[in-house]
Amino acid sequence: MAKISLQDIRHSYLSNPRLDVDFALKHIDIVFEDGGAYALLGPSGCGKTTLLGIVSGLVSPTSGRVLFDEDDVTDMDTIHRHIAQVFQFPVIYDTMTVFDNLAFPLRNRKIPETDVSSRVLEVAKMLDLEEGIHRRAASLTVDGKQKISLGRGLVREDVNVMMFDEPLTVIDQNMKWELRSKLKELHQNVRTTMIYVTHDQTEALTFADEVLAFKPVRQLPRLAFVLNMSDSVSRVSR
Amino acid sequence: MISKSVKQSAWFFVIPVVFLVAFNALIPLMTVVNYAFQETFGDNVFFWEGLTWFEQVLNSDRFHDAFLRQIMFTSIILLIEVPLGIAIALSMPRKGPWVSVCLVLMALPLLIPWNVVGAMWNIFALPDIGLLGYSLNAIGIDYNFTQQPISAWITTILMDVWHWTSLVVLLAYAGLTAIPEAYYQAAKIDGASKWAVFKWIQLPKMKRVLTIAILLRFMDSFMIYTELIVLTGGGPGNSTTLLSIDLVKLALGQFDLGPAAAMSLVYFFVVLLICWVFYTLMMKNEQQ
Repeated sequence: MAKISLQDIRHSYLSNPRLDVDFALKHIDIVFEDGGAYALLGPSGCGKTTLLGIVSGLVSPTSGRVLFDEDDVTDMDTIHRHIAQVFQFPVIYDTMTVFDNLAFPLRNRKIPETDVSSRVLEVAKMLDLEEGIHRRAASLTVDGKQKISLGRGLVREDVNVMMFDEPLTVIDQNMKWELRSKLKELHQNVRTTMIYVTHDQTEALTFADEVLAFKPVRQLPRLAFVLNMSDSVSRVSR
Repeated sequence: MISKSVKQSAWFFVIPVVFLVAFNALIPLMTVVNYAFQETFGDNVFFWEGLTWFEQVLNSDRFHDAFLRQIMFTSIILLIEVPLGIAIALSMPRKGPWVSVCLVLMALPLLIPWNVVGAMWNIFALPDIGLLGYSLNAIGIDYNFTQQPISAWITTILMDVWHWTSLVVLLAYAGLTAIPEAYYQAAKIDGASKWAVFKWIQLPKMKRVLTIAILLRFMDSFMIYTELIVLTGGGPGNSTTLLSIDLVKLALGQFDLGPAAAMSLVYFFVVLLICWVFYTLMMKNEQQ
């Protein structure tokens, strides 16, 4: 667990950015407090996913610093940041069973098999995946698969932050509601920092303690704005 | 219940396909069937022979030997080409200017006419003037594919690997590029090693294309003729006489049309059977 600070982050996908419009993210300064539930809300293409990538280390920012507590992790690779992420489409290991899927992150970290087993069963119970836990993961429905992706983050005890990148996009309408309450409940139980990216206001408001609304910065006319943090990110606290 | 009116006129649209299949597959095949059960002495005179030719072919040592050589050849090239093809596909760049360079280089062997491939390797491997043959002998390795069965086999296998590994590479590469980036990101987050990524993501996701690659390579190598007849002609002796070369010797060399027709049918059903078993096994796993 850690407090996550983004300090003056700028990011561009171009190799030689000059103008403001070249940047997908400009001057982002945010602090995610330890144990908070945050939502990043904004239209497609406003840099939400990029921001997640910067926190997880999958994207390295053009400039600025990322701090976990007081440690500068800007140049640290993903595995050492101890983060978990759920993607838009469920990512599961098709040929493994549900159990092996959930155990995978633990086994990769050389955790003893007895601990793996108890931890996996605990998480499976939390997510209602106990039934058919030894079946092939590929046979599950899409919401079951998304639960597995979520579970692979929950099994690890060293997770600093869990991130969700529009995780309910492919889920049925009625299952959406259930999964959302599940997430909320999980957050109350495990108290890991969670960052939830979405373009759906309802999702953002039901999930998060704090919503960070992004403006579609790239769609603004070139000349009119010099954007700084207070322009591109506005906070709505409840 | 809503009852649909049945329109028989739909059959009309199937007629072109029926004709096409009839003329390019069924009718020629029936000719072979015709010869397989009868004896002819020309002039369109036929005598019924029943299963004689089949018994003769299936009991002949000659067929057994050719068949064993064929199985050995196909197994060896599959064992080399599939892993090698996957390894090359894995090491190819996924984006950037080198992608097209690599793809063109890979496609090159596939564009060369088959008999030219045979001729190239024949000249390349000749012990007195060929680059490969001459060099091997110059460094003290006794190599002569026109006289030593082992050398002939090695040359044949090298030629097939050179000619056809590209096909596996291209198919495996297509499978690899179709894997969404999120899988690699998730694997990174889960702390997966390179080997784990290969075993649990890349290999399962390549399964379908690899099934096709193995099927194609199996069928083509099981029916290899052109390159081989130019390279070794089935020799030295009968050492590289695989099924199709043996069949041509039987049909056109000895003009034993009856046994040759029976052998063609056996040959055809073996290919069909192996393909069917392999495909069914691969796809059965898929549904679990």
